[in-house]
Amino acid sequence: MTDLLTVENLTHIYSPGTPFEKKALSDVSFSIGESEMTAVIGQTGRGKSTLIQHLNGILKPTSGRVLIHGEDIRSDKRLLRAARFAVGLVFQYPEYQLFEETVLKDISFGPKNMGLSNEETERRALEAAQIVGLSEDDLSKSPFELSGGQKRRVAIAGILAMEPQLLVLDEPTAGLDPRGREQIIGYIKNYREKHRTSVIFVTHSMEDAAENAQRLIVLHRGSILMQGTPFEVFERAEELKSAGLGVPKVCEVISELRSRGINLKTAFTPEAAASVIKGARARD
Amino acid sequence: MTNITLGQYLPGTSPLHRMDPRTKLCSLFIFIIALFMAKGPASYGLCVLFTAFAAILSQVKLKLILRSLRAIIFIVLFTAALNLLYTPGEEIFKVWIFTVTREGARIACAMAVRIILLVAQSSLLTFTTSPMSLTDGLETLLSPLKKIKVPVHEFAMMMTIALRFIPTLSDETNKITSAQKARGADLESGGLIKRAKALIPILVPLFVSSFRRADELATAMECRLYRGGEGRTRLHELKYGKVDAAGYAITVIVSAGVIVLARVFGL
Repeated sequence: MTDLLTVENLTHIYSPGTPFEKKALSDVSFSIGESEMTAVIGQTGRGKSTLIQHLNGILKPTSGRVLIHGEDIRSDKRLLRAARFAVGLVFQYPEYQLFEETVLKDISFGPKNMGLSNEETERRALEAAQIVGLSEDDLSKSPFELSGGQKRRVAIAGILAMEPQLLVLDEPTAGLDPRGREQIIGYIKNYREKHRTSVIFVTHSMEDAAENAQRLIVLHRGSILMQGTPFEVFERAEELKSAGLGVPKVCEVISELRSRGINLKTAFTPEAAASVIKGARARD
Repeated sequence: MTNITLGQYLPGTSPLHRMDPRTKLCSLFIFIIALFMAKGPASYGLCVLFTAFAAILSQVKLKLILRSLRAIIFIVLFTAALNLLYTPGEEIFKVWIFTVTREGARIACAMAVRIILLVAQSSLLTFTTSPMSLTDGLETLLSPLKKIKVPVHEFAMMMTIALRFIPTLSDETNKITSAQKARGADLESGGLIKRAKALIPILVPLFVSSFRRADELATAMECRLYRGGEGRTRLHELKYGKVDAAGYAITVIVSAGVIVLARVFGL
């Protein structure tokens, strides 16, 4: 079976042939399977946002291909439009894209563009609103009356309502307080469980990535430094550090304990670390 | 998105880049006067030489200068054609109702050269001067007008802010456009009304964010006690250097040469 999404040797150069030429991505390849949760990690300005805009065909690769179910999305116009709906892209600070008179209308914008019937549009919009925890009252308000966190949820609901096969989120929790972050991640997880959607989220928080993703892709200077399960990636802590990325705090605790002669397995979430340490104590 | 070129400024280190913006503005002004007084092949030739000299000195690629001329090619041809056909004088040949005269041909050539040089020189100015230093230059040149209560500083500040926000807003427009495209907004197809309607999802968020930015900037300026131009000093003082002396000298000599050739000798 072909993978849901495959990226092959993707290279992107901004403004080629001018003094402003800048290589943002070079030779990036990876693939995403059905209902996988993948985190893309990297420092700011390292090509993460450029990468995700290729996934639904908004940017055109300088070279390389993006395939959905094995078909190149740039091979014809119909496929390119289909890619827009197959890959739901939530941009950074998505609250700045709201424009409609009411929250409900704004959430319905995407499904409407897909050419769905009014009933289906409404059904999806209501479901998406419910998933992100918006109340009935909120739906008839103007999106500009809402608080920042609520606006963010409306914007995410606008993409969820399109029921994409692959949901891509660019730093969905940027600028939110810890509670807001937890909520947003919770909504995404709920949605994913319900619809069996694959999710890619971009983050620079190692903790978020370690706790929520099954696979990690580490971008550094526009190319993939490493990819694999969190376990495989955080095993190579030294490499991550030399790329200026760091590892989750928990990993640091474990490696500090190891350097003091305690034999411990790698763990990258607080829960796993606790059980690893408990296990070691029981053993002694 | 880093692919936004503001105006057409190309960063560089040529003598023309290093020249004070005031020098460039004044020189352009002097040259334009000379250009409009030019008469015969000799004086126009000198103008062409001067422009070529400036172009070489600027180290701007010829291709880019030609590209900026491409925009005016229609105006040049149209002006030349009108002059060619409607100037009375000694007849060269006649096709149907159109008469081409010797005077017409001469004026048509002169007009074409004049417009091309005018645009080429102005392009050289914008190629080698960043918009910021251009406003700085204008502010300093116009500062005598403060005596008659013209708020020169305020105008310059407004222009600077406007210029400063062009890349920001165009960046923002790109982002919003991409975001709406990701939601399936169709911006490319349909008739005029459909296309205009398709702009609403882009314009509304753009306006909202412009107002937000204006508000934030105003607050930030007030926090730093900005109160207009009175008693303000600058971070980058404009200073004349050797390159400016040379610039003025060459421009004045060439322009004087053009005027003398044209008006005294009629060449």
